[in-house]
Amino acid sequence: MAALIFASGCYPEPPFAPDFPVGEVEGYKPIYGTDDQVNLAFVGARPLVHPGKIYVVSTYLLINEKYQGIHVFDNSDPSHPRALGFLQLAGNTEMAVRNNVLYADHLTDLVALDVSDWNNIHELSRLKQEHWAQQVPPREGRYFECPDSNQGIVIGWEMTTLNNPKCFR
Amino acid sequence: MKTRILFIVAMAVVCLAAFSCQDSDGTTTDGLTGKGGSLARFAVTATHLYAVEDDALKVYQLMGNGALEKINEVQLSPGVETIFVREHWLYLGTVDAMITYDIATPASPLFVSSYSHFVSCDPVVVQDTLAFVTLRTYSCRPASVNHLEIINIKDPQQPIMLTSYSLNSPYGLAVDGDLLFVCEGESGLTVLNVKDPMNVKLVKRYAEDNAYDVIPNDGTLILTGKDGVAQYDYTDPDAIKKLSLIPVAP
Repeated sequence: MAALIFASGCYPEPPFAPDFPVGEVEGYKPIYGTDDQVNLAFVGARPLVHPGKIYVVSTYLLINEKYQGIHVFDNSDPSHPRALGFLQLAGNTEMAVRNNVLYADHLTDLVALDVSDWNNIHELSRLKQEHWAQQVPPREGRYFECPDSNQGIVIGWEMTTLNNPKCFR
Repeated sequence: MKTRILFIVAMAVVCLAAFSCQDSDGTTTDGLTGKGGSLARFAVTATHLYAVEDDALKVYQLMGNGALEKINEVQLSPGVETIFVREHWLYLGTVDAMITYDIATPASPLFVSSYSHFVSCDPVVVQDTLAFVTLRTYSCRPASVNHLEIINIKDPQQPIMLTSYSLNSPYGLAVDGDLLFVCEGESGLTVLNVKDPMNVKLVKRYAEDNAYDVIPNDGTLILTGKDGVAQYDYTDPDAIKKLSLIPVAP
């Protein structure tokens, strides 16, 4: 977990975060993951809440659930897609598949998972992605609450009203 | 007998390595690579995975069992949003440009050209010698530029804009043959005919979906939107038919 410590409060890129208090503004607040959410697991199907990117491979349809994981559907019949389960993959937004191997971001890592059998997933490799997106919110020219590594791992961002945020991107 | 088995094993290995054999059902093993939407930050080829972060293009090699090894990283100006791979070219959609890299040497992407455009939100997709870039400032940048640019990339060194087409609020897009599908958020799905890129024709605007990204998949359009993930039969682009909806929980 030490490796995931947010290195600096703000990003040294223009426009810089101000030295003065900005008061109450709309901005992003980090969502911290619990240990349960952080473990990689294939679990029962669940409804879509905040669907993200989509991916099709063979007869499968994969739907990202923003910062949570991937819904897996058997899409052999596009009129009746059948939910197979949910791959819990905290922080996930990206995916690609080649030869039954799923490449996806998990927290700040990039994992390769053998998914030839979804109910028996093997991790083939795990690489650190030091500057992967979830350490900072989307680049929208907004204030955000600087992540605090003591509170856990940032798995996503939510828009809310912030009081004197110190970070900007 | 032993020699024959060895031969078969050797052939199987060669085939797996080349990824070019026929599966038992007759489809080529190219079907083993999936398809993402235009907003993707990952692009996978037979041998490598390319991932774009805000200011970097990372290159990973696919090892024999599919595991990844990082082999290269190319620094880029901040603002990279999407990646699209076609043959041995990578097309990066950034906030102000479409950047082309040559990956004929997969481990070492070679900068080819940068086609600049207005600062906006803008994925890129490519088909044959044409690149399609949508520029959206709606709910993204403080300006008003929302359109499609069609770019001739026959000479990758010198991309040339052929035409632009005005849109409302373009997000993801996809091209399949003569048809270009543009997701326009609250404005729905816009289907264009781009057979003649100098004369883009509106096929139809479908208003019912809050469309954000799209994948055409053998006659079925997979569309993400506010209501969920919908699938359509688009064999008749004038009258696409809804097949199903995986709904968002109420």
